[in-house]
Amino acid sequence: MTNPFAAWRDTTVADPRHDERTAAILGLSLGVAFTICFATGIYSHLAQQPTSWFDLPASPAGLYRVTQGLHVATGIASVPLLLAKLWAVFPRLFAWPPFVGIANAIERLALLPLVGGALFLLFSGVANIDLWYPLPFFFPTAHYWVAWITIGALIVHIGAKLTVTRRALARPAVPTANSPNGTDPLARRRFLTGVGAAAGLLTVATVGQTIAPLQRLALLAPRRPDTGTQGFPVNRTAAEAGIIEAAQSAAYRVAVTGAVGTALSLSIDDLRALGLHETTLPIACVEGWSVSKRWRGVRLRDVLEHAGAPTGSGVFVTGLEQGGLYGQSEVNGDQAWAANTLLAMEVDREALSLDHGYPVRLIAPNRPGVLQTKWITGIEVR
Amino acid sequence: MSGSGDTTDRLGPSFWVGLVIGGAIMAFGVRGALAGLGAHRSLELAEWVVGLDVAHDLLLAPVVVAVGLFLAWLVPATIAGPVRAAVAISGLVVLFSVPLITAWGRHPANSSTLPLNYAHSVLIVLGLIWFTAATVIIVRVARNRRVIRFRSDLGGPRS
Repeated sequence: MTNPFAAWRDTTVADPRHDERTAAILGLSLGVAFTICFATGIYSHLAQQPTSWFDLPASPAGLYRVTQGLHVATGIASVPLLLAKLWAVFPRLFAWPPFVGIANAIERLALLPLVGGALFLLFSGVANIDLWYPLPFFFPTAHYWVAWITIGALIVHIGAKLTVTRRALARPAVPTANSPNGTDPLARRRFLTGVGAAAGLLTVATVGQTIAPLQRLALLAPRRPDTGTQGFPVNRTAAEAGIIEAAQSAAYRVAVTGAVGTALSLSIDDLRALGLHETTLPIACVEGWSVSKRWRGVRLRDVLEHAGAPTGSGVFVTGLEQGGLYGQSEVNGDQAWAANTLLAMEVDREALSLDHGYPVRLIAPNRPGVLQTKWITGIEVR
Repeated sequence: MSGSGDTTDRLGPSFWVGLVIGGAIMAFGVRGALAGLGAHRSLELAEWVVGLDVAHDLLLAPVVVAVGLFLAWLVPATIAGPVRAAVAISGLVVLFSVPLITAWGRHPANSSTLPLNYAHSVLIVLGLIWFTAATVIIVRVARNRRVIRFRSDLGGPRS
């Protein structure tokens, strides 16, 4: 049986834009990009799913902002890289016979989770930052586990392509005038320049959602750090959380319970009486936007000391929001006792708006925005 | 399953090492998905992963190849490169911006979600792409004419 695509495949594979060297350069770039995304993604997962063996440190305060900004920016830049890589190797899909021997069959089979997984990660990631949820399952869980599957498939692919990649990259990059089929001897360089330009364009058009000086260029960013109530974005509004009345009630209290010397029920005035402090901390969303703000409130550690909690103990914070995953969060000992962790009541010298957590919200260093719990009513010492 | 798999490649020991390590990590991922999503949802997840791969290979990639062949037929070779690049990057920008333009994720009561007029943004970006392409084309055409004139002055061939 002959391969009907053989003539087209053989012509295109001879084109420098489809050859081993182009595939190797794009593959290497994607390998670096996916490794960055995987490492920063694991860090974000650990931040949101605390484990017994790893506590996020309180310092540097802006670390999560950097890692998650990098995660999203690298993911976006990977979109043209992946599509270009798939285009470059597309003719090889029609290799005939489809495989030679068991090892080659396994290698080609492993391309299914690699390519499908990579496409899924970029599609679901872009949809998520655009607040669009077409998937029938919980995004973080699916994105996280597919990342493991894809990285596993990538390692299989690297093992299979190591020799070929070394050979392709070792070849002199100087273009020759004897390119096959009359193709432009600079075709590869021009193609890769175009791919780099596309990655750069998408990066510049979106990265201003976390790098303030580039904000004016962020034409395709789903969030703008300067847009929203009190001049910065809101993820969940007070109306969406259904807490408007309770947050404004005269009976609003913050209960301090658990492993404390004295259980407390503090009004906002009681909290203020403990002394207000100011700090500048970023609010950094898992969706990639971030912004630094000047917060004012009472130190969490002052509240804990007032209640007689053991120094260094972690706490579990709960807010008014019911039913969601982010109406509560754990704060490890390092973050809970950090001097810049506040129960904030003001931002940029204004009382917090309802949407930003009035009357009191958590602001702690090196932490995802979804864990900066708003409308706090409970602090349980553990 | 877009493949860089060339069936003539020889697979050495690095493949088997990669298979053992990568296979174990993939198994860990599958186990995690099953535990985190349940069997039914995991099956749907697998359908999405395979579905996106199939959609790329049977829909997107053939369309891109067909557009490339059409442009090769339509556009003179001198300016084919910048035109192809501009078409490809424009397509990428539009594809990337579909959820922004449609604003599927916008929350009407939350002005900070998808706050821009993204159709307007996309037009600006497309304008920038085509302005760059037009500049490159003009430079190439002008350079080509100079070369032709120079050769003609020398009495050499015109191509």
